[in-house]
Amino acid sequence: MSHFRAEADLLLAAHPYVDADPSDIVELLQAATLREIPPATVLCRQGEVADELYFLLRGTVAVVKRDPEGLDRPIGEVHAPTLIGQMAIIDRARRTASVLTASTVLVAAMAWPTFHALVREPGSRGLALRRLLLSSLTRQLVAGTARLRALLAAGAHPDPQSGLELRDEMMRASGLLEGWTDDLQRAEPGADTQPLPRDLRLA
Amino acid sequence: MRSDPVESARFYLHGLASLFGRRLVAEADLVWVLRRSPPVDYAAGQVVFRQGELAESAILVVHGELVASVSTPDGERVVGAAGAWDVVGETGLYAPDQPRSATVRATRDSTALLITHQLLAEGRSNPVIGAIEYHLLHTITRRIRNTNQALETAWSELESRLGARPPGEEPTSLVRALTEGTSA
Repeated sequence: MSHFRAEADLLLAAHPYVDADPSDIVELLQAATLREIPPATVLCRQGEVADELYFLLRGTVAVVKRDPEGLDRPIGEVHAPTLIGQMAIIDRARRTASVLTASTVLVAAMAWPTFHALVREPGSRGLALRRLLLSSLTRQLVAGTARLRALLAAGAHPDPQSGLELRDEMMRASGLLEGWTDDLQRAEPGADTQPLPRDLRLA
Repeated sequence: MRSDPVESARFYLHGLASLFGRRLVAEADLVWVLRRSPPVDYAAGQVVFRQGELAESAILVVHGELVASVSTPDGERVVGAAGAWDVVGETGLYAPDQPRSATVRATRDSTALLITHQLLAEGRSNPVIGAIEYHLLHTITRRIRNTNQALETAWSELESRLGARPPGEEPTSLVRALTEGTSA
């Protein structure tokens, strides 16, 4: 039972007001499939129907989001510990961004049937899962809305010179809102984080 | 004749919990929630909470209608409405240090349940609380999707104001990796 305890503690520390027992988070992680994934591997692709929820336990991933015109824009990096892909697994929608490993990562991937059973479970595992998700969704709603408000204020009278930057900012706000990136994450990337291509403009 | 607010709330929670658990919920679990969070009546025009106040609870509308508005330099602007089965102010549960982003008032006589973090903490083993949390998950997800849809609309408006994408802005090598790389 001590396996995953450190990861459970970190996940709880990163999600305030969850009020769950670390041992329940451990049980959630044990209900998922553990995968160590090398750098530059696609974790999920935009447009796919979601069939897994990811607990990013170690490492860093990069997020790319396709804008309404069809151009893929890098919108940020996400460091462990965090949840990835929570919205699409809740409403069974298509992924709204693609995720690529930027380092060797350790993820616990929870398959849809397991997720579906656990999230409706009245016991402590279900409670822990629902509250982790609620904390994560609330944070992305608050952060994304704040970013959008700032953008609306700044972009009320855009000029052609600032248009490109505004487009990037809009996609980053969208990524924040959808939970792909997180303004609150300030963790330093791990030592094995791969330098990303030079032509990337990451957040 | 106005319906009994407690009976309305009981009916509401019973439906929510039965859908969540796919079986009838125990009467004792319903009674526990209604005792901890008695239904609150709001008269038409009454303010439920004000923009800028610290958020401490979510409001589950049992019946009636609430309208949210924000203060702008041009005056009050209505930004949304909530009816039966809707939730407002849900960020107060998991981000209680954030101020309310809008003022919410009843537009007609309404009944609501106040969901506080304390209620969730004390009701850990109550399936009715689980049902409320499950309802909140879908409510917040839907709200985020709606907001993002508004962002896409804003994008289209931006495109029409600024013109086409600047030349030379092509997919990056990360994007190429995404389209050609291996899947986990």
